[in-house]
Amino acid sequence: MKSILLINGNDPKALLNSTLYGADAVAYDLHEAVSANDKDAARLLLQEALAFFDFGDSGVFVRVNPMSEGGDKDIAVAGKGKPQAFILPCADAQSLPQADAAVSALEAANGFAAGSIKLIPTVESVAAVENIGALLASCPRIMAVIFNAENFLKDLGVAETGDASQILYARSKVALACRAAGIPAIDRPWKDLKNRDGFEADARNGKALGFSGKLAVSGGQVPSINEIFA
Amino acid sequence: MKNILGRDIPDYIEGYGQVRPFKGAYASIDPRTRTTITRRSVRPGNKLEPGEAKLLASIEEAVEKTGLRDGMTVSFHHHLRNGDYVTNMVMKVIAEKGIKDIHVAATGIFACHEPLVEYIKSGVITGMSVNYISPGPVAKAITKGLLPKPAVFRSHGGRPRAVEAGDLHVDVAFIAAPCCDNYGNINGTHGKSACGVLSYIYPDAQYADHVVAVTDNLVPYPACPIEITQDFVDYVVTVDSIGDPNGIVSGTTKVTSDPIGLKIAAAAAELIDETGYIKEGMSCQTGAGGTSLAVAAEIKKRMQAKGVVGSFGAGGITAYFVEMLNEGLFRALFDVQDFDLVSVASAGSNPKHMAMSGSLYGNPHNCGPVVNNLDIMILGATEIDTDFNVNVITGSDGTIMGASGGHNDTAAGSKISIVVTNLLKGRLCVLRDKVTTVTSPGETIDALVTDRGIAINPRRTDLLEKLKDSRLPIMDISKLKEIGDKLAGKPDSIEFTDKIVGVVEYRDGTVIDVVRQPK
Repeated sequence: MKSILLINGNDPKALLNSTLYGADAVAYDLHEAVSANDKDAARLLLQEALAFFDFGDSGVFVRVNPMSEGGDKDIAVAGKGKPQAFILPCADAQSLPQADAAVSALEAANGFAAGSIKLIPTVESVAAVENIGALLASCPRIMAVIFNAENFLKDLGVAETGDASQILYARSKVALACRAAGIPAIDRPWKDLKNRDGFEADARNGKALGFSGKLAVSGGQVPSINEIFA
Repeated sequence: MKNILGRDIPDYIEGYGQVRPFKGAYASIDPRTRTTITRRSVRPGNKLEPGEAKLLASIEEAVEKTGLRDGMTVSFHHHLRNGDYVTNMVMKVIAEKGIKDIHVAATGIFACHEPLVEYIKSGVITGMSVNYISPGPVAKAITKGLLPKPAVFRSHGGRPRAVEAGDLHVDVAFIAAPCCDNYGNINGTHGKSACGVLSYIYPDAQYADHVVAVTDNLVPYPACPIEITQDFVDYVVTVDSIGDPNGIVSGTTKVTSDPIGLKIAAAAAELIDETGYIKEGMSCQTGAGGTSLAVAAEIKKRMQAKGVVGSFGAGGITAYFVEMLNEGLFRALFDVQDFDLVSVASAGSNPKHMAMSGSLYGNPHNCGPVVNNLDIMILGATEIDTDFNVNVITGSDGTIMGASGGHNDTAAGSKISIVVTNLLKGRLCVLRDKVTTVTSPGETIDALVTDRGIAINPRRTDLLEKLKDSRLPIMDISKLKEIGDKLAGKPDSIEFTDKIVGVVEYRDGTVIDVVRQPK
């Protein structure tokens, strides 16, 4: 899995076009892209959309809210559309089992095969990076891991300088742990859409460190990611 | 009666006349007789009688000198696009003089021409013919049936054909002249209101009964270079300003950054490459929209990779095509209008950047227009049907929002004509069982490239053979329509009254369709 494209889960037009960019998987976002007042509507929209659209060969994921902020509702409601996996933000030793339990409940309630829906934890805290080996071993549903550098640096208490050496250790540790566990590691998103050269250099850097792919925040990033991680 | 495309068209249309039905894109190429005209003679300068000088004091004087009266046809051109002042200035004088029942034969109408709506309502303007019309107040007024006679929609090649044949007789042509001398020599590329080539008005200069140059830049004789020569110009009028050159800039003249547009463009270029059209001496034309220019960008990459030099780029010219010319990717440009100020500057300075008249561009009834030499044509569409007929005139609610421009000229002339579009526009699928209005007949459209698949016209068995092993997502056009309909649903049919508000002439002067007033 090289490219996962993040799509606003509350934007019907974006949902409609989401599979046109050639990403290996699309991830419909209920977390950062959707305002607090719109979460309920977005969950229902996504439930309908997942059941209606033909996604072809594309993987279909839902990025839920953190478990402490409504992630369980996201899993219960949007999950009725049966995505292949949920992306769990702020994953740690506490939230990962909660998400696992919520997904088990979803599967049982809707007649989905046990274990058929996977989890993709996002590692974005110092503790999660430091304990990533244990985290990966704790849950058999994990099909990939995403590294979020922006929040990691916030948790580390340092300002982002734009210098990739700031996150070299964390990135390397995530990539190594995932490789050891046989789980694909997906590198950080690049949000500065105007800095195309920086984005491509960062993708190559991630590939050199052992990541399998990269999270795309725009359809325009997908072709480069697919090419660089091919 | 129904024409060959099954469009329901009366034999006779009030305000238009007897209908010659469309019989096929190449059905009327027989020899044609051109009209004759009567033009005034001008005595030598030192033999002029009082009042015979070409240079007049005002538009009002020009209206008087040309004998403009009720029931006449006046013509204008649209190279100043949405920055044009001349059309409104002249029509204001005509209205103030109490002249009625005027036919406005404009090559293009834009939002800036909103004052014409009042002249339509007051009976000053009773008929119009256009090659291009942008969505806006005049288009809405025509749609609402405010014009007593149906508007006539022609193509960029069809209009000069009509002028030369006498089908469209122009009594007085008003030329917005960015650079002009006192004896009527004109160019469009110099002066504060430079707008580029003035190609669409050349036939009017040659065939109108009277020709008036309206300029805001009177230069010493002779104007240099000369684009329209003095022997065609009766009078010259100076005004403070003929327009705003910034208004000539089209809405989008840059390569799109939209990833889906880029995907469509890449697929179109791949299709062109796989069918063998990217080769030494190739010629190419695209629209000025972002996706069309993205196709040009993809073609450029492939030309560079193959070391190919094209013969010419054509049509409305953008900075992107100027760049390709300057980089040696084309040997020349054939230009009918300039979409941006870079193109204007190039048209005025580079001898390889050549003006072509509308007739040279697309008139089917001459010894061969440039579209006949065109290899690749990239087109847009508002709607396209499963017979590949294209509509660029009416929108999803039946409102007039465009006109052929060069669409049906280039589709007919080019070796491969490709429509590029998103399959879904807004909430609707562009593919229909039958388009609302036919602009270009399906027999001239070779391929449809969308974000969700590609359809090849089954008439082009040669293309299908070349593409049989292609990895492109090629499918039957009905299958593509199914995909669109599944996502967007089938829209309700538009209901129309019986009133015909527009007559759509194919480039050869036959009637390919009519526009009825939506309910």
